[in-house]
Parts: sequence; C-alpha cells; structure tokens
Amino acid sequence: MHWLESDSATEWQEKLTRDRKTQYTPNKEGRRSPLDQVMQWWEAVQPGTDGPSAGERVDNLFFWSSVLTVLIGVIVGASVAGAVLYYDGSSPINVFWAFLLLVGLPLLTLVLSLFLPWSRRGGALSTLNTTQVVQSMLSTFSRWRENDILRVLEAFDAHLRWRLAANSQLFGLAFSCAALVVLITKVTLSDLAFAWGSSLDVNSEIVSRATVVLSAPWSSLVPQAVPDLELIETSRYFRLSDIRNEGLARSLTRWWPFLAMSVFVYGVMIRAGMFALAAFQAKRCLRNEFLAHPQVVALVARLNMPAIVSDSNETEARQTSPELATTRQFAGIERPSLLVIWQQAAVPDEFANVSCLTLNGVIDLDEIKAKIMAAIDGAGPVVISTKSWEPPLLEFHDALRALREMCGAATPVIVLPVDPHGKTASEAEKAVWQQSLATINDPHLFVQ
Amino acid sequence: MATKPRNNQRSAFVRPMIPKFAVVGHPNKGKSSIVSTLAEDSSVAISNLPGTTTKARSFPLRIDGRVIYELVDTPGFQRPQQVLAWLQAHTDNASGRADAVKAFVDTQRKDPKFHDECELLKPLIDGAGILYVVDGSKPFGHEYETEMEILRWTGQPRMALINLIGDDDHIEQWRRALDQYFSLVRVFDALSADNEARLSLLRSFGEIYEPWSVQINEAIVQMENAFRRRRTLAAQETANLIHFALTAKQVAPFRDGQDKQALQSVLEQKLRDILRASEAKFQRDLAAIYHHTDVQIQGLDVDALTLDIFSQQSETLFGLNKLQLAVSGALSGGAAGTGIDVMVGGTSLLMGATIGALVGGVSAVLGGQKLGKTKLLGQTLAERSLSVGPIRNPNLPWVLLGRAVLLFSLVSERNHARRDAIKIKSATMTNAAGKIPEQTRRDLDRYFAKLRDDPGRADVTKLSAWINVIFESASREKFE
Repeated sequence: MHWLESDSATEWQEKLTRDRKTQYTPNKEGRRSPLDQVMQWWEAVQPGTDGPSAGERVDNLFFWSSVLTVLIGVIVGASVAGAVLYYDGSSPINVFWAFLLLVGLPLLTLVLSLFLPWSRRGGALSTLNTTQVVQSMLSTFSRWRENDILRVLEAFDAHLRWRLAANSQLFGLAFSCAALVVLITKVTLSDLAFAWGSSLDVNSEIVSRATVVLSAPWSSLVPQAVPDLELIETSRYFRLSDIRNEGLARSLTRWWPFLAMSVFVYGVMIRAGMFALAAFQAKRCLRNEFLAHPQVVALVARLNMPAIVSDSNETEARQTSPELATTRQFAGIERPSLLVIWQQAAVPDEFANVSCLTLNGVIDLDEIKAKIMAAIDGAGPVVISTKSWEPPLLEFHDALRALREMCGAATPVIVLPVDPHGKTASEAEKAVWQQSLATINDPHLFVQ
Repeated sequence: MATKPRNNQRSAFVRPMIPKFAVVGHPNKGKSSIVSTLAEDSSVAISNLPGTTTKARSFPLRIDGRVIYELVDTPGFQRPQQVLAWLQAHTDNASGRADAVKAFVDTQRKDPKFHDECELLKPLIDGAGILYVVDGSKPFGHEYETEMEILRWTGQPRMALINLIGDDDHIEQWRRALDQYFSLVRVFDALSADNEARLSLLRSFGEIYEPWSVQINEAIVQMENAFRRRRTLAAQETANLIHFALTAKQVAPFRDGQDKQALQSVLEQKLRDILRASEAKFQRDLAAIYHHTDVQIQGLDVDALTLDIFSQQSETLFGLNKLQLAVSGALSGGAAGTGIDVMVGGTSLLMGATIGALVGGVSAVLGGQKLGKTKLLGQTLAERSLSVGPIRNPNLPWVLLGRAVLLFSLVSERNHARRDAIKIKSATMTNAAGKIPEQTRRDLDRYFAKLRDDPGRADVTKLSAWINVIFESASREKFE
C-alpha cells in the first residue's frame, strides 16, 4: 500500500504502459476478481525493497502481539485454574467459585469485548477505538511514528479492530484451554472433591434447575456431565460440618464433568467461535479496505481499461522549414512585361487594364514556355497573381522555372498573392508563399 | 461529367478486411489536423507551410492490441495535372483506369518529381478508402477537379470532408462540386470537433463501404466506452487527490524546549508543498488520460490553474462562498469548534497542531508531566511528536474539485489537432464549485467530514461516482 501511494508520483503514461504489460490469469470460473488481478500485478511489478514495508511491520507487530496474548492467556488461565482447583483434602473445592472464575468471568469479558470492533474512528465510541489506542501507544517509539505507519493504521482501521478483537478472543481461548488442561490433569492425577455452599437460603432444587439449564448444550451427548439431584443434595457443604465419609467423598468428585464441560462449552467453544468470527471479519475487512483504498481502485481501473492506441508506429520525417525568403519588396512595379494569372486568381486592382496570360496549371512545360514567350512584352518585371489562400504547389515552382528561362535570369518576377477580390493577401498568407518560394533560391524573385 | 460512384462498385484493388482510409487532398487543407484529431495524436506535424507531410504515415486504431481500423495521413497533391495527363495517356477506357493508377505508381515511384503523388496513391492501391479533405472556408477552384478526377480513377470507396479553417462559408459551393464525385460529403471542423462529432464521422466511415461497417461500428462502441472510462478515470484521480489532501499529515519528533511554533510552521509549509505538488501531478495525469502531453493553459486575465490552491483568489474562483458553506454545514461542527481561525477564505489551513499523545490513554489520566519522568526499557516516555494536519479548511476540497472540473472540461473535449494554448476567462468560472447542485454539495460535504474523521470509513468509490456525474455535466459547459 505504501508503495502504491508513492507510485502515485509516477507519471500516468509510464504507469499505464507498465501495468498493461502484466498478464492476468482468470479464476476457475473464467472471471477476473479484482483481488486476484491486483495480487498478480503485484507479483509482476514488485520492486525490490530495503526491509519490510509499513504494512508488513504492522502485520508483524500484530502477529507477535497475538503470540504474546496466547502465552499470557495460558499463563493466566493455568494460574487461575491452579488456584481455584487447589485441594489439600481439608475442605472441598467450592464449585460455585470454580464456575464463576473459570466460566463466568471469561463470559463477562467476552460480553464486554463485543463492542470493541464497532468503536470506529469518529463515531460515538471513538474514544474507545482500539487502533487509535494502539496508535497512541506506538507513537511513544520514534520508529512507529512515521507517516506511512499512521496511514496504514488509518487505512485499515476496521481490519485492525477486528484483529484486535480476534486477539482478545485468543486470550480468552488460551485462558479456557489452559484452565481445562489444568482441570483434566488434576482430575486425572489426584482426587478432587467438589461441593457447593452459600449463606443464602438456596435449596437443592433451585441449584438442580440451574445446572440442568447450564448443561442443556451437552445433556444429551454427555449425560454424566449433568449433576443429578442426589449429587446436588449430598454435596451441599457447610465448613463447620465434617465429611470424612469415604462414600460421600467419592461422590463429591462427580462435579468435575460438569465443570469440565462448562469450561469447554462456555469457554473454549464460544471463544473459538468468536475468534473464528473475528478472524473472518478481519480478513473480510482487509479485503474490502484494500480494494476500497483509492490507489487500489485507481489501479484496478487502469488494469481493466482497454488499451486504445491510435498513434503511428512510424516517426514523422519532418521537412525543415527554410529561413523566410526575402521580405524585401520590389520598389514600384511599373508596367509589367507580363501579367500572369495563375489558376484563375483575381486580377489585382492596379493591373485591371493590363493584358494577361492565364495559366491553369502545368502539363507540358514546353507549351508553357511557348505561351510565355508569346505573351512577354518589353523588359519590365513579370507579375504573377495567385490565390493567396492556396499555397504554392510544386507545379507552380515548375511554372516559375519555365518563366525564368523565358524572361531572363535578372528579370524581376513578383508574385502577388491576392484574395478573391484582388486585394493584397494577409501577412500570414504572404509568409506561407515566401517560405515556400525561398527554396527556389532566386534573388530576383519577390513575394509581395 | 463524372458520375457519382456506387458503394458496391467493383474495384481493381483488393480491399483489406480491416477498414483503411487514406486522408488525401490539396496541401494545407487540414488533412493532418483531421488525422491528429481522429488518432488523438498531438505529434502529427501540422504547419501552415505546404509540404510538411512528406510521407504516408499509418495510424492504426488498436484496442487491446487488435487493429480495428487504420487511417493514413498522406502528402498533398503537388503536380495533379501532370499526373492526370499521364494517366489519360496510358489508358483509353474506363475499365483500365484503376490499373493505370497502379501503373503510374509502379513506374514513377523513383521519380522525385512525383514522390508526393506516389505516397498518397500507394495506400489507395493497397485498397484504402478515400477521405478527401477540402477547406470549406475558401472558394472552390477548378484546380480541385483534377485531384477529384484522379481519385475517381482509383475506383475506391470515397467520401469528402469539408474542413473549416477560416471564418468564411463556401460550404454549399463545395457541396455542389463534391456531390458529383463523392457518395458522401460531410462537414467536419478538425479543430473544434468534440467527441460526438468524431463518433459521427466514424459512423460515416461505415457508410463508405458496407463490408467495413461491422468493424467501424465496433470501433464506435469501443470509443464510446473509452470516453466513459476516461471520465471515470479522471473522476477517480480527482477523488484520490481530494482523499489525499484531506488526510495528509506531517509528523515530526517534538522535544521539550523546542520552539513549537517554528516547527509547526515548517511542517505546515511542507504539507502545503506536498499538496501543491500533488495537484500539479494530478493536472498532468488528467491531461495524460486524454492523451494531451503538452497542454498549455493561459488565463486571459488570471492564470486560474496555476494559482496557489491556498490563495484567496483560488477560493473565490473555485470554492464555495460563505453562504454555500453555511448551507452545506461546513461551518458547523469541527471546523468552528477548533477555536482556530475559521474565516472562510483565509490562508489558514485550519490544521491545528496537536502534540502527540504519550503512552496511550493512560497519559490522559496520569498527565504528561508525571510520565515524563518515567522511563520504560531505557526509553524516556516524554518523547512526543508534533502532528500537523489534516487540513480542515472547509473550502480546500471545493477548490480542488472546482479546479479539477475546469481542467476536465478544457482537456476532455479538446482535440489533438489544436496546437495553441487553451485560453480561459476567469469570469466564466467564479464560484465554480457553487454550480454543483445543492444536494450533491451536501452529500459531498458529509463525505469530506467523514473523510477527515475516519478515513477508513470513507468510500472513495462514492466520491468518485459523484465527481463522475459532475464531470458529465461539466463536459457540456464551455469555459473557453
């Protein structure tokens, strides 16, 4: 993601050319999923990087934090279970306490943790936004205060919230698993006597009903894990009484299946389910936030844009434009020896009464020369009236050469581009004529 | 009198499966401009000097590598009368005319005198259709009849394009002449043609020769899709720019005793520079999406698009006015509550500098000074950071959006035959963002607020979609 953001500095055409070179393999259904496209693109263009990216660092941080979470959960769970299930034979283990600490407390923390993934930035619970809390903690250390780290934390806020939620479930899961292992181990390797006691006026039927309700998830599968009324009645314990009766002591061990199944169902299974849900949501949010990131959206659009190219593969052979022909003017056109009207151009006003030769193109040069020879009258300049808006073709150059041959090398030849009404051409149109005729390199040729 | 040809006339030349059109005509009538416009290629040499194009150059339209049709830019006729005389001397009946043209090219290709004619006739011998270009702003002249007669001799499907270079109108005169030689005559202004005009011309291509119509129609569909996609891409890039502008921050370590104001100024300047550079890059990208690589934009009275995005003038030209901001609710909420300068139009970025938190939420309870004296793993917890941004000036996204809309409307329809700078008048764009419909402004304003507070929740595709709609309306408005 950081690379994509810095790639936004790459010029558009370069990005387009690079991205279009990547080949894509559709999925099994023949469709292109945007995520597959982006991942295939990344494999193709991935640059070599020095060290892990910001995203990888955040990912690693969360991974190791989840490992630490599991470890802490195991230690805490084992410790609590060890403490709750401590039995030296002097008095039985209070099954209420055991249930409360090994099942009730984790359930309570589970309920409290449920709102954490929903604490969005800027929302009503924004002060409890877990990624902002993490961001604040990380900003203590300079290497985690970089802009790209901040942008990752902001861009993937939902994913990270669910990941933190998954971590909290991992803690609970590790706690419950450790507690269950300790319980099973103690039950296997030693005798544990359980009893229940309360100062409240609670009779056995109430306790029995409660245990039946609590045992409902496994009562049909593991009926022996459902405490019966007899066990409940006989296991009520008052610390001042004496229960050294061997038969009674044996029966008091029968609470452990209920406790074990409670930890398993209400601890391990629910936490495992919540962890799976949080992990699934984290993955879904990662995908959605990734695909919704502006740079990824732009990338997918570029990848799917059909390449429409219509420029030429060949390079232009540019004709070099000669220096502007002489802009010098022929001073005072006196009576011309010849007025040529080229391609039915208008007759300039000043030559309205001058006889002229009309030339409509060149087919036969000899014929042109003959016409010119016949029309020339005197030694004065030759004037050619042309359409100012029609640039001179090479055909006109041919006519000029024929004219030069016929009238002599030093005879001034004046080209007069005129508009449809015989008026002088614009400077721009004159310039076109001057540039074109400059290639003839005739010092006695004028355009005015 | 020359008779009008039929579309299904048999030809001596084998016509290619892929439609191919040679753009031919008198020099300086806009052949290269038409090619540049249709091929979206600004590199085609266009000049007032006749004979700029010296070689036939092919411009195939490729979609994902597949050629859909081909245009060929050619040099103009230079010695048409001599060519026609040669042709007439080398055949004595109509059935041999096309062969005479081929024979001319075969025998005269090495003669420099007929270089240009051979270059322009070669694609026709290869089966290309003819697009004959004339300037409808100038009177018809008899010299054109020679050219049209030569083209008629090829027997190739042909249409005439009346280009309009100047201001005068001689279109009807031209039509009367061209109708006698061409089955289709269309007016097409190469310099001002918009996308719709280009597509219309493409449709005409399909009418020249019926077997080519399928591919021409495919080209039209693809071009229409391409226009839509480009607008979508332009909208996405605009959305990305705004997204970045409203979420960008600058962070630097801040130590006790350091001058906070000075550091804040440095970071603010850095942030401004980054945003200016991002907007400049965006402008280049937007032009590149439309294949404009060297667009020059000039303001007649103010250089609108080079104004600093943080300037008062930019806000006036492109942003919302105070009333509009108030209606949009931008003056309420966070911006007003900061206690910092909320004056609309001020140069304040409303960023506010925040001192980075100490160790999580604990610091808020314990107070910074206490933790400042605590060490953890050898690191002093009093290390803090100064974070500047994101920019909270409510008009900034509107300024960016307004400038983007202006640039989009200028480049999206500008055709590639134009070489002049785009000239714009500031009067046409004052309060540009204010022209956006009010409901859309409200939706956008809510989005901008969400973007500042929780970027992860802001769906940039929605912003892109809104901008796409704005662009669609903008393309119908002219700022030049």
